[in-house]
Amino acid sequence: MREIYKTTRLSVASVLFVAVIIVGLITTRRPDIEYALTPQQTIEKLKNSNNEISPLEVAKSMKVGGNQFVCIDLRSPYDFSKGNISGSVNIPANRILEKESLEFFDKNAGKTATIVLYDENQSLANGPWMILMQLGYTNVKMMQGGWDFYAKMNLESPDQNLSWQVETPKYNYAAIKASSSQSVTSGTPAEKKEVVLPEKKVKTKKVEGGC
Amino acid sequence: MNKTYVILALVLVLLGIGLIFLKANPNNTEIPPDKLLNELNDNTHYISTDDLAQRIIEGDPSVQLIDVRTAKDAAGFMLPGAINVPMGDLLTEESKAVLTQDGKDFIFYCNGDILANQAWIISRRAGLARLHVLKGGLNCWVETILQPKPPAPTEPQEAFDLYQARLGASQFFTGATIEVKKSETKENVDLTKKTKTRKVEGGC
Repeated sequence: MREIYKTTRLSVASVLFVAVIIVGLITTRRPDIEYALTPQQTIEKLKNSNNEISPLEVAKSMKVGGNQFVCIDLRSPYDFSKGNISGSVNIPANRILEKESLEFFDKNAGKTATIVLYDENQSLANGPWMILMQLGYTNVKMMQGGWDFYAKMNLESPDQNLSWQVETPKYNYAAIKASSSQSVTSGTPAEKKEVVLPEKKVKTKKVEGGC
Repeated sequence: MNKTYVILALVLVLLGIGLIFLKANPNNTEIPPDKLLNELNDNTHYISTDDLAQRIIEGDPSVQLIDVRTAKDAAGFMLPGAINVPMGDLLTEESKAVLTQDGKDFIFYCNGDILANQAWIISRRAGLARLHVLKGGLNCWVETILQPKPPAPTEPQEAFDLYQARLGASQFFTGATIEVKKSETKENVDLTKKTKTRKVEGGC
């Protein structure tokens, strides 16, 4: 009697054990979105190809009405509604990995037009661009300067200093460090705000009255 | 021998054999793209030049600056205590050893903040933690810390306090001597005492 009881327990346990493993195998699924490039390939890509496009280039193309670029606005819909590059599509930065967005990128991936990402500034467009690049999209670039520069740009007399290139060193750091004592004192002297302290009123009269 | 034991053992052996043929996933410590994007959109990985200056001045031992510019650029000028890890060398064993030190906050910087951000993304994807990016990079460092600009007289008191702090930081980082001249910017407001003309009256 005892022997039979032990056997049923064992078989129940074994069935459960196998069931758990099978359920585990079925329910484990691979992540929806996977990197196409390894980190090493990503670094190679960062070094080799030209990943950025100047706002001037985009503006010139937009002026002649070419369809050389498909511009993606990564800002919020509110900012997008206030002003954008004509013909651009609004995909906020936090939604670029949603299904519809990826479908959009897939649709445009095979075409000759370059997808240009832009945000308020280039730093904000850099993250989404890096993600899309690592997912394997090859014709995606980011716009230097971002909307901040694009909105202010004058096509007739473009900025000769290319000030939208934030990676260019603007100063000679070593020289600044060497000639530091001059550089700081030559500026205007430290201006301190006068602090106005209200004077305390001294009561001169005796306290009167009260109930 | 019981038949059940044999079946059970066979099942386990079969499952064990199955494990051998499972595809190895070497990148299981990687951060998936969607999570990485969320962290990027938070923008919490940036550190301002003022915060960094303060931490260096205070001698915070957890600060580890990483210069991601080329070795040539880094040879000319580096922030104090920085280690040069050019982008191309980011995944070498040597760099990994630097970026996995215990108890350190790693702060990437470059001329702007694009390169540093890219280095951040690659390292973060590899699962490294406590990584930061210097907002604005060296250009911003010069503009705010080494050569701060005085605020306009109309700006709030905080701007003046910040300017004072930056002058102090500038002195710390460059060894400059600063002449502080007293200059009147605001007219003194006369607080004349009001004299009461009437007698105190009343009570209840």
